[in-house]
Amino acid sequence: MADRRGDQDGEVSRVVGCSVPGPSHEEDDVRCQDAWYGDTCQDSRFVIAVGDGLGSATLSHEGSQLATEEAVSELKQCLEREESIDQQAMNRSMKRAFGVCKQTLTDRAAELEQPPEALNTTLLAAVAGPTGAAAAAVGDGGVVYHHEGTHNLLIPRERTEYANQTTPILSDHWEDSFRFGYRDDIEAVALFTDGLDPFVWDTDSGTSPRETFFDRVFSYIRSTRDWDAATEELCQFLNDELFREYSGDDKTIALGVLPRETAPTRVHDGGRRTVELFDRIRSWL
Amino acid sequence: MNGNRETNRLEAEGIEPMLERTPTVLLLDTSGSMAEATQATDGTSKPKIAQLNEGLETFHREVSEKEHAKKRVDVAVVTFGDEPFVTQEFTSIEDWTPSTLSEGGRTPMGGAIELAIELVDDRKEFYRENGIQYNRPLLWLLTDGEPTDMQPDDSAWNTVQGLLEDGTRNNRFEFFAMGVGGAQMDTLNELVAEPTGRPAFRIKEGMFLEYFQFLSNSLETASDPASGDSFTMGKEQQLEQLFQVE
Repeated sequence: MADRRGDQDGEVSRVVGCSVPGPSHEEDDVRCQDAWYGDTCQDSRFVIAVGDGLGSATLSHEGSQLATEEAVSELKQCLEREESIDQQAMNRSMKRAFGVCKQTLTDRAAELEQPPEALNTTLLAAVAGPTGAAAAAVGDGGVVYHHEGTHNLLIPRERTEYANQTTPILSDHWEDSFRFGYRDDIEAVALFTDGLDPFVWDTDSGTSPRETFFDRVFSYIRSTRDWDAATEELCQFLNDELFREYSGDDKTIALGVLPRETAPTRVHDGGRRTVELFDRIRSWL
Repeated sequence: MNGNRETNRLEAEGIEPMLERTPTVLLLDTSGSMAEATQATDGTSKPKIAQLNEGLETFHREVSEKEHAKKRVDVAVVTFGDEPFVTQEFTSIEDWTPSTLSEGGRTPMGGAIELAIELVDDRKEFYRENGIQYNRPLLWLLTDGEPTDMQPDDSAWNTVQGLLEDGTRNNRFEFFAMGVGGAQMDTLNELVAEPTGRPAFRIKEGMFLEYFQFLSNSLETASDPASGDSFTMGKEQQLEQLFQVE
């Protein structure tokens, strides 16, 4: 248990992210269909979920929001029941959580008297803490972890023949697309939707994280001292002209960073867009 | 480094995009009958081959003006007149200069379809070998006649139908057949409707230019990542203006 000597010496987990509409959707006056949500537990563990509503689904902006919030809620409850992040247990928990999300979307569609497919979305989720990190996904996008200066996939990239194909969570075949990954030691993790695909995958094989992109993102998160500005900075980054020029799709990135030592956390804001949990930031440099 | 302590900013500059490709094959009838003149929508009377060439220029120009499409579309051209011929191997739309096509010969449509499918398979292999992401290829056939290298139910016909059916069922490509002028729509439909699950469309008289504009709009949608995998042929109004209901 960390020494609680107050704000000056503590360091806690940080979760921050941003979703922005793509220029293609702005032109067509379509709402952003990406969403993300995150939360932490008292022992510096955190949960993040990211979703990308299907373009063909009329209410997918609501679907992605609902799925990410439900996933975080389910996984947080799971973490509160378990002392550590165990690989096998988390695999089961992730699958269960995704099943609950699927049912939540179906129930919501029924309330709205819409077919379930109207809320269809991809879903990616990650949990992390001092005892390990686990992630799962159905659909495209990705989860990349940072550890000792290197980046790697926490889950494999979705394998489809065509770039514009994906298996969303309400598909009958969602379990075939379910990917799970685990590591017993990470420092930070990033979840993102496929709107960032042109920039996040390596140029040789398209299956590994792009060094330039993740060097910058993790370096920024590790060195930032102004967390009030961090969300704004991420949003400006996603809205950069370079990204908008080459990707008309909605874009989301959500990041979680573990403290160097475990410490109690205090929830400042459980809001949807930003969950910032820190008393004081110790320098990583 | 982009994590400077004093002015901590996150910069996108220098992160070069790697874009997925949308391979497109134009299968174009350049048989002798394309020398016949028809009235274009601007009221002028021009040989169909001239209208086809103008349409290609329009297609190239319009796709090149569409921000997301111009960076993603790869195009190949297969003509069928004297013989099925790859007039243009796959290249990016930005690097493509449409050549001026001339008419002559009969209508070896079957051979052209086989050639186009082979081109598409080779292109996908190229993408895979080079780690390039790609969308489902699109094949667009335009004819003013009927095939002369095969007849219904002969072996060549059955081979082509088999390729179309296999390609459609296994999501290897999307195939669209359009008839213009004196196109034998019954024969065309007999060839493509069942294997591709989609009827052939008759383009209204003289609407070559409009067809290629429609093509460029369709490619804009197909190559836009935000539109997902559900390819549609365009808005109903546009379809009604361009295609004649049989």
